[in-house]
Amino acid sequence: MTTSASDDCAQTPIDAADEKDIALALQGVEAAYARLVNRYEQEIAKQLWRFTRDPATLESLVQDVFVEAYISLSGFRGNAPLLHWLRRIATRVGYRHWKQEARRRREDAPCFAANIRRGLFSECAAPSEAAEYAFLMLQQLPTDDRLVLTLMYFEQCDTREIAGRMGWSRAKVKVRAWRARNKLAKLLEKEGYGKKNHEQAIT
Amino acid sequence: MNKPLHEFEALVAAARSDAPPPVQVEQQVIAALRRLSPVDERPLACMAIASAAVAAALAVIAFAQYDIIADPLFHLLYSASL
Repeated sequence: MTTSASDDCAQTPIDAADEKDIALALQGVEAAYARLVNRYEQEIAKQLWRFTRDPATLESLVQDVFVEAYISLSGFRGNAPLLHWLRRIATRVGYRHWKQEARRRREDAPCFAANIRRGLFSECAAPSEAAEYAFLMLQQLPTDDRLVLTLMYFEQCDTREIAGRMGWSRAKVKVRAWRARNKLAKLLEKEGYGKKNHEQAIT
Repeated sequence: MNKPLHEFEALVAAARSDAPPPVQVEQQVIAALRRLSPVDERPLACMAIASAAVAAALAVIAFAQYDIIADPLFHLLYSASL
């Protein structure tokens, strides 16, 4: 697994424009905070697109991130880029969304496996299709496992970064990652992936 | 490496470039923050504290005066002084 940008953040100081806008935002200048939101909303949306495939929910989650960021803004120390700090908040907002969704799913219990079509791994033409399948597979895992694998696979985070974002110990992340990969492998085998002949599709 | 996982990782590699729809939330964020901001109650709090302090001072003076006035000897001595 490649190392994430977390290795850079210790050396990279906060951007001067961000520092200025943060100072103004803390004084109550709305336009300054609007600039910060505008600067990073698409990056945060890209991250949260791993947590939901619904555009309306995505917008709501992105809003939540920036509202929570403003409330905690006075606690931002400025020794790392603002985007790293926002990503931490986004991870927790996304995780919370999954927890709420999991509670609702237990009541509805839809069959997610029916949405997954076999034999299309190598034939996925569009990144959006690949992302959709990956999302549906990971959705079958318990929330904590899903989070660890989503951050590892999509964000290419290492265990240190995941631990930092969630406030977990690194040992917990390592154990969780190992177990999650085993569960995912079993799910994939059950769906017929990894076998030579996997042409049959289920709808 | 486990073959299904290997295939899944290939899938994820393809999925990484999937971009979300464009979002523009700054207006909604500012509106939400305005709804959260509390009214500045410091002037009201200062007035309340000042009023309480004045009331306490008046109460102390009033009780002190009452002790004197309620004393039966006060009236006798007051009349005698006149």
